[in-house]
Amino acid sequence: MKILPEPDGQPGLVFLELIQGLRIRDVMTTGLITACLSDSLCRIRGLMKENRISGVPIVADRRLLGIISLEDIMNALAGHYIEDPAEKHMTRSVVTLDENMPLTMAVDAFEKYPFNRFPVLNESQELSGIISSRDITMRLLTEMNREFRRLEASLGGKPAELEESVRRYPVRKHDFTLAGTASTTIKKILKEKGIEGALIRRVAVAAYEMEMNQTVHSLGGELVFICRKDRVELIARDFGPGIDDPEAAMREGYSTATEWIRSLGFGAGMGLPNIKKVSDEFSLKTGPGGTEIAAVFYLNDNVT
Amino acid sequence: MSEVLVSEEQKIILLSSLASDQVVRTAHIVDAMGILLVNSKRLQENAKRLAEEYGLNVISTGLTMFEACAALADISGSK
Repeated sequence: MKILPEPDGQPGLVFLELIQGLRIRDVMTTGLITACLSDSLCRIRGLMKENRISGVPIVADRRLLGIISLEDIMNALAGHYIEDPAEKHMTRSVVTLDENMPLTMAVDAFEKYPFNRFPVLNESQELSGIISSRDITMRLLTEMNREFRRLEASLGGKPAELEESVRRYPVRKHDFTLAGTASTTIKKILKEKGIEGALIRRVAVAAYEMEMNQTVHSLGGELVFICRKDRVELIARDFGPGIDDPEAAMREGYSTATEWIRSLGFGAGMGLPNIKKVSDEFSLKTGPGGTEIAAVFYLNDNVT
Repeated sequence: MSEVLVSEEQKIILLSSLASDQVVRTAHIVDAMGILLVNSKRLQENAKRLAEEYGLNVISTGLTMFEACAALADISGSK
């Protein structure tokens, strides 16, 4: 079974990020099929048929003057004026989009208007592309596919080995109400999996120390909990400011915590040594941009 | 709290003069059987809710930490 990581309680976050991260120019079609004012509707009908499109912008010097849609062609055939120039029958008040707009605005436009496509203009008000709802759908599917592959790869294995789950918990600076909630949840999950009590306690202790460390010392970050077939991994990542003297921080009793933190029962300088003590593998990377602490716990006693 | 977290003792009771959420969480993490609050401390509403959620027994005593420890040592006969 494949379980793809999904931030807890935030389904569709990846999808949302995709839409928000894309601009109209990233998605629109730029290989434009256009016609000029004097082109006959009959010629435009030919363009539509050849290129399998349902609308042709009418331009002069890259300026959008109007648009001829499939409906205009059908009306021309019924009204026997198919040889008339485009100028005479084109729709002149065209709703356009700006290529720098976020893709969400295009999605809104499709909801608001009954049109199947919108011409897109650049900063100089020239026609630079055209966007259809199909363009959006196709692009999103491609991006989602890519995103899923990226997530699969980031789990460090071939997709077939993905018998694991990844959960992420946010940690906020000095938020002592939030601190400890991730550890409690992790403890519950492990218990449900039927993991042995002593091991659960070790994982929970490490997770709790990580949460407290981030709450006390960092600008905020996240706790990542990865459950694999043979091991449990905890990764605490924060946004900074980093540990000045990592070697000292690993010594029991060394603490940079303030009196206030100590009054809450923390800051005894046992956090990092504790995490190392209860885990099977421990690593610490730190710099001004942030600290990453990883702890691994073997599920199988034979693995040492 | 870290001292408590790193201990490997089983079946423990956590004695504390702090009555915060974190005391309750710490007790839960180390599978403590209960919490004994000294100096007449009482859990605040949220901490109380947490203790209920985790199924932790909480007792409050007017004794100081020192007196409470001495009394417990008396009971357990490990003077």
